[in-house]
Amino acid sequence: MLSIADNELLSRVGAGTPMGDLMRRYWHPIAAAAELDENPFRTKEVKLLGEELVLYRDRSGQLGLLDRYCTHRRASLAYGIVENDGVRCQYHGWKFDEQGEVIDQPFEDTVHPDQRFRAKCAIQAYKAEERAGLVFAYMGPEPAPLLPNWAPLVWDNAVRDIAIAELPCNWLQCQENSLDPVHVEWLHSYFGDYVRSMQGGVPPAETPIPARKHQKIAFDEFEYGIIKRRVLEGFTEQDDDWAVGHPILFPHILMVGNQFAVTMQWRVPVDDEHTYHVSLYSWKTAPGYEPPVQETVPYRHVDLQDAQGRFRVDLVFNQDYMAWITQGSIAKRDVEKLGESDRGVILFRKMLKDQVELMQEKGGWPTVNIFRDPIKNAILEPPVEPIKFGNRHAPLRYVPGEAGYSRDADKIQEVLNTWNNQNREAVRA
Amino acid sequence: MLSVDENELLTKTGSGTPMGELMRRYWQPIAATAELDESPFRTREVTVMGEELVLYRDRSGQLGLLDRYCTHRRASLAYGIVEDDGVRCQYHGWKFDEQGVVIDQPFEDTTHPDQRFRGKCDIRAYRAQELGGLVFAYMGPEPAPELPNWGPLVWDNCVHDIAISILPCNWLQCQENSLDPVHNEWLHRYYTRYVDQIFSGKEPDYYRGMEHEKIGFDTFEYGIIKRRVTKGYTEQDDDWKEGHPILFPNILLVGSQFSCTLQFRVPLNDTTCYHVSYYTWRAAPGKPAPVQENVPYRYTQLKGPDGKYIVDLTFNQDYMAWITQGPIAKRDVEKLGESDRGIIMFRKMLRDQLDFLETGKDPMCTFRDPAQNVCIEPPLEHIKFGQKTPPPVYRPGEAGYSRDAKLIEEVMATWRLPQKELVTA
Repeated sequence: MLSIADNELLSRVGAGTPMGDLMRRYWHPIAAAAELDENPFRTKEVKLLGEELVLYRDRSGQLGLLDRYCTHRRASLAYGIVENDGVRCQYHGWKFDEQGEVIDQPFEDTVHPDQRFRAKCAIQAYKAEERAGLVFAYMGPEPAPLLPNWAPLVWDNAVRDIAIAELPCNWLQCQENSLDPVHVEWLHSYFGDYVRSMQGGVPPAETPIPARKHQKIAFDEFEYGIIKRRVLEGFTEQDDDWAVGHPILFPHILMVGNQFAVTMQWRVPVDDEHTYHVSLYSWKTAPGYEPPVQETVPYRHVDLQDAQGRFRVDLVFNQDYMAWITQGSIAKRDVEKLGESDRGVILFRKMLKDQVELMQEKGGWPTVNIFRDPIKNAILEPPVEPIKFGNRHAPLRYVPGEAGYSRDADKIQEVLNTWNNQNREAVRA
Repeated sequence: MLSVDENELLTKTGSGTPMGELMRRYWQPIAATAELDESPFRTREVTVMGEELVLYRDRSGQLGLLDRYCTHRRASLAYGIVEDDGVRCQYHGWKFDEQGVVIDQPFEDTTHPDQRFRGKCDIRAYRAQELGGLVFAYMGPEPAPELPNWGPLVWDNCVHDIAISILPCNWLQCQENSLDPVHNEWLHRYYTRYVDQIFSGKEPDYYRGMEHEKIGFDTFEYGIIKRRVTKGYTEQDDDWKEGHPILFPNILLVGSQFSCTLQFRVPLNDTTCYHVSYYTWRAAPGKPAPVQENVPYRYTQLKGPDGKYIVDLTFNQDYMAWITQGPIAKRDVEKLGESDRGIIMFRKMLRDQLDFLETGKDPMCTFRDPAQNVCIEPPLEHIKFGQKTPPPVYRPGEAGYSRDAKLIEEVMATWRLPQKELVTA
């Protein structure tokens, strides 16, 4: 349980709020690069941490992320003209570069060739950078930390898929879900089986989840966040689910999977009541195999509802989305009852508060996951169970974890086959 | 730049607000006549400056404009029963005439034949009048001024078309656009070319086909005249010498000797603008125009199937620009420059007229003398941007197509007779 004030503190992310200040010190995925690049106008409306922005790629290839409204008379640059060196407002032709500087101001320049007005008209600009088919944004103070090279973003022996879900709820309830091992037993197993039996068939799940009781759960802080562990009925502390566990990466990422495939999930606050949920799926080839070439990383937008307007509940991730959204736009933590299953949630909330305090005290920066050393940032490899829930074999076929289907399903299947063809004795990495 | 308070002052038009009081001194178009008359129920919901009203035409032909909610138990008169002499509420049968007076009150009359209750049950009524295929409303104090007979509304030898757009933004950013000559160079030229190239899969060439060298604004009796000199033209050309007007407070008149458009930016409420484009195509001097049975109307689509604003038609480009400025543009964070001198002048004119209203006299552009109101002809370029003949085909200025496109082309063709007959009127 949180007081109403503490709940506000942890969930609100607008400019000038404590969590808003904290979140602005981290990089956030805001678009699939393919989504931007398939639009011939090369712009995309983006909203992040309550701020309305426009993302664009100029004709030289440079990404720009600017306040959406031209500083002149506030027409939307989402309809702007993208040129070689910046974006020009369609309304009166003012042109901005990715630093936010005015680099052309036609009629003003005609009347005042000294260009004295330009400097007063710069627009708010933020940094944007690409990695693994995603565009990331940084909206905090300078110097910006490095965009973290989490391993799945830089692996070269993998094929990837991006699924984007726009969730009408606050980011924190999404992230808290990842500190909560017990929900897997109920939401994804018991409820999942119930739904599948109600639907009359037995569609395959992404990862067969054993309907086994949780015997024990645990959480450890580590340098990148929190590791969560579990012992299920029939397993022991020697199994990877306990011995290795998997991490939430502070402040808003989950990394989950096994030796065959890993999913990173970012819970990006669009504003206080909307979350841009990005799942980056990476399938690794078996040792010694080359992955098929992906020209671009495909992306898709996930349907949350079925044709009747009910939340889809037949796929693992969609079950999560349903649970988070139905908690309300901002979950009322002042009337919740936390128990033994929620020790991870409590630990995570404490970590958030601690990091906010550290930021407010120690020169303005939190201490976790602010990377400034390029050598250390070459590849960041938090622990993830190689064998999860006892599954020693890669799945036989690709099944999406959430509504929709990857454009590159064939390539994913090809990668899965590298494990299944000759390596049935699956190797522990 | 305006303070937050000044921005509120100029944008809010609800009943009792200063701008609301000023705007209520002017007749505002609220519907196309054809639109009212094609409904067999003869009623139409309208909202004007935040007030929810019903427009109807009774069976004798009289227009009525009343508060939408019956004074009894507030059922909507938009579902009322239109009779010979008024509209009857469908719920309990009270009947109102166009003055708002209760003229029948069945069960009350049965119980109290003295009809003593009637006098307490009048409904708010406003004036409504037809002109040029539009219905205009007057919501200000009596005596009402004349409904202005702007030239295009009363000329003969023309063909007309009406396009109505419901824009999700405040009226003022629409009207400010008309005090802003420079946007034409970018939004309607540079951007049009760019959009056409992108849509046809070409590399954009970023060609600047127009360049403003000078702009000017003059107040005149009906509002402000705007002028421009663009590269290749001089002050002897009509674009500077004649210019064209914004008619106070919320009308633009733009065009040339062949065709012109009146654009009315009527506040539907503070964050919605009822935008009426009244197109007029004139026949060449001495040539007759074909006869239109009535003036057609259409509603303009704002977005395409992709959910984005339509940007390859002139008026739709404007709509996109205004709407994306936000429901009420944040003028406290804008940066006005040389291109915006007309906007600054117009805002000052609005404030001056607000002050003037306090003297109790009529604000500017109010007509009371019928002799002066026969046909009001503000200045307008004969030759605009050097175009001496009409375009070869009718192309709508905004999404949609006129029912009378054929008649429009017929009128345009009257100008394409032997060159020597071409006159600058």
